[in-house]
Amino acid sequence: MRTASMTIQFRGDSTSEPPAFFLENPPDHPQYRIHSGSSGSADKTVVVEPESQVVRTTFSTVRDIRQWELSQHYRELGAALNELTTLEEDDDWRIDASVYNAASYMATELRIGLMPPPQIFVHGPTSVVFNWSGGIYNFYLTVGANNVSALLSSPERILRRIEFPENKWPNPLALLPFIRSARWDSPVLLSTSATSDLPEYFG
Amino acid sequence: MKSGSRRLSIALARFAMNEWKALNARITLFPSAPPASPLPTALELYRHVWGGDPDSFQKQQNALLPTVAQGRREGMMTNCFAHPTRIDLNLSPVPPPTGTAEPELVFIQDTDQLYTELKRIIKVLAEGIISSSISRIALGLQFVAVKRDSLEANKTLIQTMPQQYRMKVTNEEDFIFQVNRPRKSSKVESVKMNFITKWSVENVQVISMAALAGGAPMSAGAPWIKNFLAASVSFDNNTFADFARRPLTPGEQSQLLDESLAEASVMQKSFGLNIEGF
Repeated sequence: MRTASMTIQFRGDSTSEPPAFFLENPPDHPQYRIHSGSSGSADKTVVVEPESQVVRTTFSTVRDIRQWELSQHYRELGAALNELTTLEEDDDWRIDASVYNAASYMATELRIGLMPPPQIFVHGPTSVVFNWSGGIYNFYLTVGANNVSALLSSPERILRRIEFPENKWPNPLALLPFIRSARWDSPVLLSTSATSDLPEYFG
Repeated sequence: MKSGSRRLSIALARFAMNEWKALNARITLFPSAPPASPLPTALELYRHVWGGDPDSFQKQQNALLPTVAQGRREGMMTNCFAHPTRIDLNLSPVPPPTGTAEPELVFIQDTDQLYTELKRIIKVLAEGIISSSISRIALGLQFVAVKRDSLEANKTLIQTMPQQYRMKVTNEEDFIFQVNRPRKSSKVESVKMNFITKWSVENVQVISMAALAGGAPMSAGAPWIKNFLAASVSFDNNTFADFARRPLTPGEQSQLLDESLAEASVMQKSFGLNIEGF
């Protein structure tokens, strides 16, 4: 039986800074004009319209490569979610707009919480399934318009199932043990936030 | 019109006297989970908050990135970001005209107007213009004083800190010190708030480049880059992220934002920033 030591590094944070990934620009948009880009601790590019000047803060520390990787994975997840709403009406993979809203919200919370990126499945228009696997266990998080359920399974059986009450969504922190069970090989840098600024890990 | 230009002259005169300048301000609303209805786009929100069309609007093709609307009001850049988990309303300086020779770091010149605008937005939010249910609010402000080197920037910054936090720094770089004084809201029952102040020395880089209409960079010539060193004091006053709490009513959002602004105003005075209008 495999065992793994679990290291969780809390990034206690009470600020409300917008995460840097929030400020990222899609690659097909030029980024020239930046406003209010200096309130945080990393390069920020608030891109709105092409003009002639860029303002950014620079920082001496070197950014963690895992953050960059995480960003790329979640960018792909966001693009996939978007595609699911633009399919033809009768397409089996198309999801309802309300499910899209809920799944986007949950995916963003997972991203902010620095959870390993999930794979995404669709069972029909009324839910999206986020899946983490990589070891013995599988963890499935099913997100509907108003409800969330979680299921942890081994190849032999279901180990745990949780139905979160309607309109009572789980704090992403509550999901961490399950995600860890399925992705024990992947480090987790957990972030809790009291600040309202855009943290650098949004990059 | 005449009184308007006189007011601007007075503001500019005061602005020139105080080394502390306003760099940006932000009001943030965090929608509750699960989202009961689709979040309005930045375009819709911009129209609600600023009562007209923005100069530009950027749609997103990615569920995890925001829509963005931007314009100019009252001598400031106004922009709105709408994202599944947050709505940001930002106020920042108007950039210098395209073609300005040397890159410069610009500030919000009329801080009286900045304060008035923040108060106005807070009042507008009380009218419930955002249909999404909101579980958390935040107000951010950043003030800076541009300095020649780290020695000067550190010295300026330390002088603004309360006595008990003052430390001995000379020419060290990348100074950051942040404290949070959480307490219960005095306006809305059972809401706990964070009152965060960050003192830092920031390296701000301004990059100028020639751009064609439509945004494509002109191929000739490298961008002109200029670095500025700024002592920075920023305030981030916000309510706790509480998953179990019921959503805040529009009235409560407004009251809490008002409390956040009032506290930032008191704090900046106590630190000796003396920002006009706050």
